[in-house]
Amino acid sequence: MKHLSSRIIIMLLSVAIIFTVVGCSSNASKESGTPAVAEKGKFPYTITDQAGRNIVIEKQYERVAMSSVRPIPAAYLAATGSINELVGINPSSMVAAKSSMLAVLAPNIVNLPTGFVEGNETNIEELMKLKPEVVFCLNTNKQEIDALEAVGIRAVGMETNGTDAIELFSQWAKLIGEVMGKENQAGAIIDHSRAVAQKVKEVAQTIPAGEKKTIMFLYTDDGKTIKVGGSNLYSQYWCETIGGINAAAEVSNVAVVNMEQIYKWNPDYIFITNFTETQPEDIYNNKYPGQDWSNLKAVKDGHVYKIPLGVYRWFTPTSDGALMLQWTAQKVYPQYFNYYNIETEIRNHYSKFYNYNLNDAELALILKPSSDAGSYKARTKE
Amino acid sequence: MDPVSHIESWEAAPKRHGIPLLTKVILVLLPLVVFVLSFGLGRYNVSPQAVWGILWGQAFNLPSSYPGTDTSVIMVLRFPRILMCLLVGAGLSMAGAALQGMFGNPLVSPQILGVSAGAGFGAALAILLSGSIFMIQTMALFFGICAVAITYAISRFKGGDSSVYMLVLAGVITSAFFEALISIIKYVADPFSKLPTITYWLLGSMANVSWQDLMMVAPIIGFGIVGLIIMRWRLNILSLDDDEARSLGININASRIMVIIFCTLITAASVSVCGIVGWVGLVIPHICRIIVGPNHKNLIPACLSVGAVYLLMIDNLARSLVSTEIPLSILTALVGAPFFAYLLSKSGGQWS
Repeated sequence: MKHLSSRIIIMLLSVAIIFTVVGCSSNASKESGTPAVAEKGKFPYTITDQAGRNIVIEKQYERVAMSSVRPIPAAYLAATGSINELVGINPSSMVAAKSSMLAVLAPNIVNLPTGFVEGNETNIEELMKLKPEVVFCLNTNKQEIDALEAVGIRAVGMETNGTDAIELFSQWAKLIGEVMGKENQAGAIIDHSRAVAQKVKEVAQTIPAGEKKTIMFLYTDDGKTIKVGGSNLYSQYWCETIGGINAAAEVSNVAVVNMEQIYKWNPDYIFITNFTETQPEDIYNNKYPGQDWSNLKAVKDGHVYKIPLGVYRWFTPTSDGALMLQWTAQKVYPQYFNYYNIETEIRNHYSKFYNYNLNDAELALILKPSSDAGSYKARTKE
Repeated sequence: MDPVSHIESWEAAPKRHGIPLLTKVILVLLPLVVFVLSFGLGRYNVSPQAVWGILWGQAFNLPSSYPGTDTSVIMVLRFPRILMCLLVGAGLSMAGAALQGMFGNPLVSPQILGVSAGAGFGAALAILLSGSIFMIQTMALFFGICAVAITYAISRFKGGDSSVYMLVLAGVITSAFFEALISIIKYVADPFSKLPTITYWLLGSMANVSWQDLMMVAPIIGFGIVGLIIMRWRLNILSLDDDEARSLGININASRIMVIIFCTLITAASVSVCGIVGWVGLVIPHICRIIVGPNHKNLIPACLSVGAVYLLMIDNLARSLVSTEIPLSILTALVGAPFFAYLLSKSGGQWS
């Protein structure tokens, strides 16, 4: 009995301690968060994030973290011109950054802490150690948003679902620009992306129905399980915008399919994402037992391509989205999309929006990425 | 009916009434019929004539007049997959029946000794480490066998022969431990790429089973199946309580270890190539008991037939129902549960 009562007391005490600590820490950060003095006349101003919340921007933020949203660091770079304010990013973004051009454009990114996110969970206390003033997170993570706001950190919800990759990126860039007070810089890449998409759409409309090609996005193939990009995903947008047909439109999102289903679709073109180590050669050479690709039209015609890897995997919404459209369109319809040279477009894009002049090796690596981005092993820089 | 009286009736029941000839004929013919029909099912349309022509041509090495795609579908995609379904379905059902008998517990499945959790952990770990298919399969096999070895070791902590209860409890402990390890891996796995693969894999799938996969596990599963067929007489004795069995002059412990080894090999090899396929090893033995009674002499061969047919029919659905591959464990339970409930309502829970 004595034992039991002492245990209960210990439990009560520990609960009390936890509450005190939590209470203290939230008070402390509230105090440090509120006395923001408007340095310029524009503060405070109100914006709406992609969770539909009205957010007051009180000052020029200097410490920014990204928790549950992954493809954002590259968008941040494009929208603000640097990653100087970043103090922490998602571990998944880190792996992507290390295996992409982002680590070349913004070398400091590889030193950022990532330990505050594990899987889908954000450890708020661990995040607080980085003293962020604003955190970008998924708009659907209501609990995370509430927890962040409760400890005095401004949370900005971001939308990652959708098909229109250009528009998704544009919304991110717009929001980041608004939060960071860089609307002009963000506006430049948004306008450019939308203009390229518009031009591609116009040309695509001139393609007669009889010349429409079917395209399949091979999302992953580990030699066992085959996943393709269906409708309700960027695959649908890339296909439709360049005037093609998504062969896998009858499945939704990222779907597991078998080889027979792919025979049935028999696509004219196959694009392999950077989420998998699989390369076109693996498909041409029938590397995986149990998968015979040799009978497919795309394979017979030699139309299997690895999607380039720029600041991020081009399959997803990125600040390189305009280049993805131009590259895909030219691969499928070279006779219609003959008004640009893709290598020149890439060089200009990088110098204009990332202020970086690509050398030939870097350009080659973007266009012919290694398997490393798929295996999540960081590419070692030469 | 309580489990004990249920077990005691196993020996006596079938001697009163043998298996009707018709039942025997059906049990032999059904797998053959379903085997042949399965070649014609799938997302890609191959005409029955082409199926026959291709199989015939391949068997006698005739020049083929059929399109290469059709030949690929039949010989590369469907053939190994169909054989694998027969093998895994038969193996898991027989292992389930043997373990249910040995433990005298109708709730036992081949998972009871921790083999699936162990193998699942091995595979999940290999996926996390971006291992090759071969590495995934080898690690699944290795950890599956490890898990059962641990279970067996725990059951003998007190020294001497391990009792059935100790084995079951040790199996629960080992399963819980490895399932926790799987959870850790799922927790740290990248939710964008690795996690869906692990989750999908843990639900079981025959998608893209190759001849190589078949060559790798067929000898192991086959060994276990043959072993259980040979052991089926002893299973009746093992299902008695220890003293009774000993009085019949049988080395209980040695027989028990043999059964455990056969069942472990079957289950670990199955999991290593097609993930964790649930429900088959639990329910098929019960269905077979309704058909042929509880005597293992008949029950084990019946499980071979019905288990093989069941998993093959389920997989036919999994690969041809919709455009996406449906994980096997979802269908085995979704289709199997109502069917089992129907059988139960018909038999009133009487096994013999």
